[in-house]
Amino acid sequence: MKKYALEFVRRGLIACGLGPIILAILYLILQRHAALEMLSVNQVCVGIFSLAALAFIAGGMNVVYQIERLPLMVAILLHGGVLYISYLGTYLLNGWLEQGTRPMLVFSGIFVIGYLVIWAVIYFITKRNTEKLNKMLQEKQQACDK
Amino acid sequence: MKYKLIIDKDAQEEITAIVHAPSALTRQIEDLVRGFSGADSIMGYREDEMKKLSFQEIECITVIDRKVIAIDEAGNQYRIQERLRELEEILPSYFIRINKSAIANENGILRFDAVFSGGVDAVFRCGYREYVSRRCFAQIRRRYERV
Repeated sequence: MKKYALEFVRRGLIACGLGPIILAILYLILQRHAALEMLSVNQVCVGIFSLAALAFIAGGMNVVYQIERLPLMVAILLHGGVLYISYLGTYLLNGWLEQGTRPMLVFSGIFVIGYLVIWAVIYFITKRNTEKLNKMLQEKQQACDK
Repeated sequence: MKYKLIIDKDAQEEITAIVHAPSALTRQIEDLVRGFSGADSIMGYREDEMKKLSFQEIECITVIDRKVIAIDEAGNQYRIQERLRELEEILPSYFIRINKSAIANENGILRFDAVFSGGVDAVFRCGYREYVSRRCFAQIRRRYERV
């Protein structure tokens, strides 16, 4: 477990520098489209810190896919759950998502649908690959029985 | 198929078979050679019982509670003294790694099962199930695709 915790930190540290860069690109795009004109020092600082933390978590959480024992779906669920909480927290902290039941439900709905689609795709791919492997196993066993 | 016998007193004794794909014949040759050199079985321990387990009767070798366990065709579990890494070197080619802590006899595998959690299980003839890691799944697929 210690190995994965250290790997989480290592991956997180590599990714966390990207957070503020993405934030700067986002601010520039918003300025170009006149959606954003002025930012307070506090807004910029909160944005930089929260995006760095978000990138750290998002980058570090990839470690779940390295845990051999963890089935892919469980890894995705764990990864998705942590990302959901992190994104929601970051959006609310920066005021990018209005506080209220409706915006939260819309955000959660989009997130859940996205994950369900990924889940279904992976399950069917695994099922198809397993069927292929079973066919190859049968052929090999029959060849060895001859 | 040709048969070639080279008698050379100075060379190290070995049997090499060049075939298009593994078959019952290659398996028999492998078992015969291992049997001849006395490396076709391992000792298994269960309670007060000690049994010589031939490789053919072992379906899976796995680690349970940090102990190396061999599971035979009847589902009986025997403790093995060798480590998995050591076993990997002496086991015949029909034994395949299915995860970090399990080696399976491919002739003992009934089927692979896709489980809803996204993983894949190997189901053995004796009823025992063991998960197949993503890395090993890809290796097994490559192994069969080559044949």
